[in-house]
Amino acid sequence: MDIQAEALVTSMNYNWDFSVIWRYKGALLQGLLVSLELTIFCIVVGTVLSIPIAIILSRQTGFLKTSVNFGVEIIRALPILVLLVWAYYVMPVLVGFSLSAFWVSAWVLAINLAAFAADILRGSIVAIPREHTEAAEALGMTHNLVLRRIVIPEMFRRSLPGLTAMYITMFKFSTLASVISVWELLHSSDTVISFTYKPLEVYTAIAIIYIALIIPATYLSKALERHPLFAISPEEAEWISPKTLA
Amino acid sequence: MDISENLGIVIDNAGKRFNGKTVFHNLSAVVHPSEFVGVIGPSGCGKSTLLKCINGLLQLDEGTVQVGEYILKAGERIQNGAGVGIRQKVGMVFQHLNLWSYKTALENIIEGPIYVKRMSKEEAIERAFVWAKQLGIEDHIQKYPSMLSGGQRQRVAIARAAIMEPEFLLLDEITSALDPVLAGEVTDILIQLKDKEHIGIVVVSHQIDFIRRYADRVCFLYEGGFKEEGDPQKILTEPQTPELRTFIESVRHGW
Repeated sequence: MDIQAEALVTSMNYNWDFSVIWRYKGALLQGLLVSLELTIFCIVVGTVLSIPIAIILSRQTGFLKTSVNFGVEIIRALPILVLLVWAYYVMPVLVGFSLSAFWVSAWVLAINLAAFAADILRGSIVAIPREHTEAAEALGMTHNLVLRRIVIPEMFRRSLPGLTAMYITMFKFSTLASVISVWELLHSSDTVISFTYKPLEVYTAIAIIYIALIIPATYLSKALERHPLFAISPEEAEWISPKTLA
Repeated sequence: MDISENLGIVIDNAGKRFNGKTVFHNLSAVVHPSEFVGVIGPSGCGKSTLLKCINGLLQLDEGTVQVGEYILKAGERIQNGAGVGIRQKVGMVFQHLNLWSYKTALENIIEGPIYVKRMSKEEAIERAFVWAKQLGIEDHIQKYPSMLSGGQRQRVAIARAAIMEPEFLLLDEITSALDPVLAGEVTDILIQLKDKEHIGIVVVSHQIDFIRRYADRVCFLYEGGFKEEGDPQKILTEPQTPELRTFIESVRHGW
């Protein structure tokens, strides 16, 4: 295939034929659907998992924090591809049962996201001005209510740029699932290529599909950041300055 | 209303230290229902710390604070329990207002009634509009704090505390950032709260004239204790201690 591709590229009068994309749109759409399913599962589950981890890392001390921190560090140290093949091939031997390639990929992506998102969220919790939680306490809110009504929403508000960047990265990382034969977009494109022998067109189309989805998502995230719901106001910035701490 | 509620805020032998340094010590005072008490004193003398100890935002190191059936004891955890109980009776308006900048004025005001008083959203909004109207901010209630002027923000903060129907309101330097006209308007609001809603008010302020005109009683906090206390007309005109005399002079000259 590589030699063939090289031969095609070096030949200047290659006839591009994008009609194959249209002909095999069903297979590609199916692949895209699987990619999106992987990404959505990973975003939802990974984010939910990251919330308690972030709260523990930012607030607790002692054994709980140390052990959670240790787990997070291990996940963060592992290349996601290594984690993926390890979970697919080694885990069944260790635990005695196996998941399908799709679910292994979905969980590995989710756990990886949780480990990285937890750190983003932890940073945001630490950055919440004391004034915001104090105002809630002054209204007579209990500790849990302050957590639920102020700390968690504000943590997400402050984490928006970092989190959306992580989400977009996870969409791109979903291509890694092709290594363990999940029929996501990249893997299904390989199949289309094996039928059509048109790798240049198919790979170009795949690249365009990723760009077409990711660039609008990036702009949407930037637009959200400017909304008052997410923007950090000058008065908030002022609170954090040493002047007001004195 | 039982007898304990009628006592007001009772501070008994309260003390607070930061990193081993005493802020105040052996401090006792009573704030009666619907009384307007002014607390004055030089910068850094612990006025704001005292307010935060009264409603349990800060933990006492000595003594107790009692409001109705709730007692805050030194060294006790204050995030739940008596702390929460006292804070529902004693509202607070902070020096920097502490509005949630990502919520509109209305959302700031209805947060407490909905989640602490468990009021329905419709009822909370209805009450918020009543307060907004009374405070003259009904046209701005859908705006975010960053779109409001200093005086409007101040009213939002007052509405947020007042809608909880507290028995007392603690106000930390709230007129200092306002020009005289706005400060006068905010003062009128406070007088209204005291006279119409019978809310007791404790104001920490640098503005001696403001305290002299409106407060029923003034306490001069100096080096960890109340150096002088009494009728503002009297003690602010004829201070008995050299410390208060110096303080009044320094404020007058803007030192």
